[in-house]
Amino acid sequence: MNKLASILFLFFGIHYGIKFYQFGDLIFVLKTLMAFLVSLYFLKQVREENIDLRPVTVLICVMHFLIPLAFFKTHIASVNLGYGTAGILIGLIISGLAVIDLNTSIGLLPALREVRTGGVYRFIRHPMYAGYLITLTFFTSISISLWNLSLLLMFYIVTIVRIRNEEKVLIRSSEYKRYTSKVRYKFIPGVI
Amino acid sequence: MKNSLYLLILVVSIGAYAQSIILTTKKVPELDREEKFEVEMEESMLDLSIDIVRLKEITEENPLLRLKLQHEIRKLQQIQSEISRIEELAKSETGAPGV
Repeated sequence: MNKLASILFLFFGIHYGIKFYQFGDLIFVLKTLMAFLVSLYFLKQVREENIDLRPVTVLICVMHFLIPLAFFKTHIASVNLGYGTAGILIGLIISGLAVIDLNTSIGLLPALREVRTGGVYRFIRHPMYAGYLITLTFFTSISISLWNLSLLLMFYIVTIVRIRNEEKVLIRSSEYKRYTSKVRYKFIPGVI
Repeated sequence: MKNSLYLLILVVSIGAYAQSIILTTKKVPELDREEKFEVEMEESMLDLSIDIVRLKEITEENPLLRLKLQHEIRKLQQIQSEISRIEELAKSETGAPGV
């Protein structure tokens, strides 16, 4: 399973690398880097227990994986400046730092893996998802279409359900229980 | 190692933002050209609508010319669909896939 995920992200890394070669957009370098890191961490992953293999959980994970790929760009380059690009990049930075901090504890399905509490995980419990939400919200704000707005709404719902499923599994570990009492917020420190 | 990766992500992000600013600044003179082009297009369309009325009158009298015109229109439609296809290709998806 992990090897398959590793190959999948390796493919995404190559895909974004080609896009950078085609369009020369540095944002693709960031995506390539993140995809290769995820691929490497999946390959190095060693220990995981209590994997949640319920069909609903698998479906939610698949949806969470696929929805961001279905968004479409409707804006032209001249409006892609300022808050839009800044927001997208801030989201990508948060997700990128979370990927580095999560290291080999990364996974597609909820399972008990080594609990990581350092880096951005000191401020919120789900920085990677928070990063995705920021990126996609800002992307939709500069590429408004009914399609993108529906996808964004769906992504919010799927993310909330995915977090609920993950925490149900993770709470079985006493280390994670301690972590939740220390870091109380999921997305925005001091708010939610 | 971890700090180097942090730094790499931050440097690439700053680069990407700077690149978007540079690209947009470069686009400004192009916008003026676009506006000028739109005015020219409107004028040409006006001429064209007058020409079309005349053309319709001529083709009604000459069926061979009408066939030839229909052939040219089909060629134009093919070019249009090719342009739409290229535009679709230029659109790109966003965000890394969710993990």
